[in-house]
Amino acid sequence: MSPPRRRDREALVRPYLITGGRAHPSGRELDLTALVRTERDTGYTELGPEHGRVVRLCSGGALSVAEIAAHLELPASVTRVIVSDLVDQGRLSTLSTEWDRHGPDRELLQEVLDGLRTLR
Amino acid sequence: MNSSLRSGPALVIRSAGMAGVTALAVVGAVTVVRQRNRIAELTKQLGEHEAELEHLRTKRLPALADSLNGGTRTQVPGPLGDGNEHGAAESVESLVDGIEEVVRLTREHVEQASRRTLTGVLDTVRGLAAEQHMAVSEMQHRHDDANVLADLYTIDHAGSQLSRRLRGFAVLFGAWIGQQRSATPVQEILRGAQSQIRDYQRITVNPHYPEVAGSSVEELGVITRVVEPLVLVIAELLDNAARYSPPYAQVAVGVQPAHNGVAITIDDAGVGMPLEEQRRAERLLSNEHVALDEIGDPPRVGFAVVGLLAARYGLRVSVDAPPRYGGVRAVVFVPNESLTHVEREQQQQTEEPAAATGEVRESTTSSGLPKRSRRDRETTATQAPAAVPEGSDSATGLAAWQQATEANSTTAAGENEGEDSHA
Repeated sequence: MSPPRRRDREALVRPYLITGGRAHPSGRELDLTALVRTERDTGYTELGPEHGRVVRLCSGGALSVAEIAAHLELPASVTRVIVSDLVDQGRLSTLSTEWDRHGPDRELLQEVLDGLRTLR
Repeated sequence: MNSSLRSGPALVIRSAGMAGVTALAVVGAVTVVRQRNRIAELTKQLGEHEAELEHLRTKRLPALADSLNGGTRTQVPGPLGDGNEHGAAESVESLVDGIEEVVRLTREHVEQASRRTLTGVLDTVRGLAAEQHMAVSEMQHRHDDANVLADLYTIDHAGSQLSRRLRGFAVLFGAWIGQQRSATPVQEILRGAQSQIRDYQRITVNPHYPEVAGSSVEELGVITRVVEPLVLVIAELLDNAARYSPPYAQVAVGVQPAHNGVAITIDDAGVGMPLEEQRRAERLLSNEHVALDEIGDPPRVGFAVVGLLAARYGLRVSVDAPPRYGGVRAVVFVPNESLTHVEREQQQQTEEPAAATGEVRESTTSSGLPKRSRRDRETTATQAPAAVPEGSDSATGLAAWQQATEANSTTAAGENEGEDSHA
């Protein structure tokens, strides 16, 4: 993954506000390459804007944590906290269970590669 | 005959001499009387002048000094005389005007010089603070470690508060407020302001706010010029609300459509505001100029900053303690001419690249994010549906907090004492 480009100005909404001051994910540590997709795409009102955006991002298909971070222009560690929240709430599901069961298939790796290429 | 001839002129001379003496005596007497009168008059005038000068020294000059040094309640008394014919009052009056003018010019000169110096110092500090804050931001992106992130949160939070304080001082010193941002959604402005205060976790931003009528991909935003000022106004009011309410009580922020604009409301569950304090707030909020010596020690600049920004950027701010429940409600009115539409980033999901489909989407920015753009259409915030009716959840919640507050009010007030209260 290429290093993040230097932003020309400070983001108005700070990372600690987005995660409510939490730096550690509530659930299982997710790898940067872990794929998540939307399970339940309803009821955004109780979600923060960034959480809501992740749910919508992943409703079109599985995305890796790294991709989500790039789209949100947020640090990976902050994105992990957000994704972990959503997995805990049952709004997102990780594909790692399928991965564990069948091992990585060619199609999935191709998807990840395509996804990463769009980030450049 | 001769004798009579001789005695005639002598008699004449004698009688004339008598008359002369008499005349002289009369003239002398008149002169003496006149002189006495003149002396009496001069003595009276001197007395008037002395009394006027004494009045000037003991009453008028102290009052004048007090009023020139910011004593707002001081009435400078007038002269003793009421334009008497000797002009004692008039001459002293022109002296007073002269003194007043000299002092005023001196004060203005000192004020300007102080502002220049302070602005210079401030610019240096702001530059360093911005550099440091940017470095912390970059570090958060560079390090993928939760423990490091937790530490960086602390520094980032302190940096955000520091930069807010520095921008506040810049406003007071008449310097430039800082960076200009592109048109920004109202919600982002509220959360940005929330980021910049100490007790950010106690703020609840109500997610329901006026939608732009007839569009699902746009939301209500604020024009470029007003973004930073509005963030600072909201941040100062939030900080104030959090500081003057119990440490466990939430501060509720809402946005409501208003006539020709929107109203941003900030409600705390504190102990209200003493009348004296409310008057001070009203005075500062309506000020278009704040002298450096009005800031006080320790500095309480919150309301002063808010008042100056409101005057400069066409916002209207009021702070009052409504009897509905305890605590204080601050309202910031943003007029339609400062509002605009911005694209709703979260709504772009249909265009987001989906790895599962392997599509490479045409993105509008290098990172694949849709660009936020400002539409030059007139916003019609008034058409938006009412979002937060009176007596909504926030009010009910506040009533509950208020009950809990009453028991702790003295403690909370005590805790805030000695802090650098920022209002």
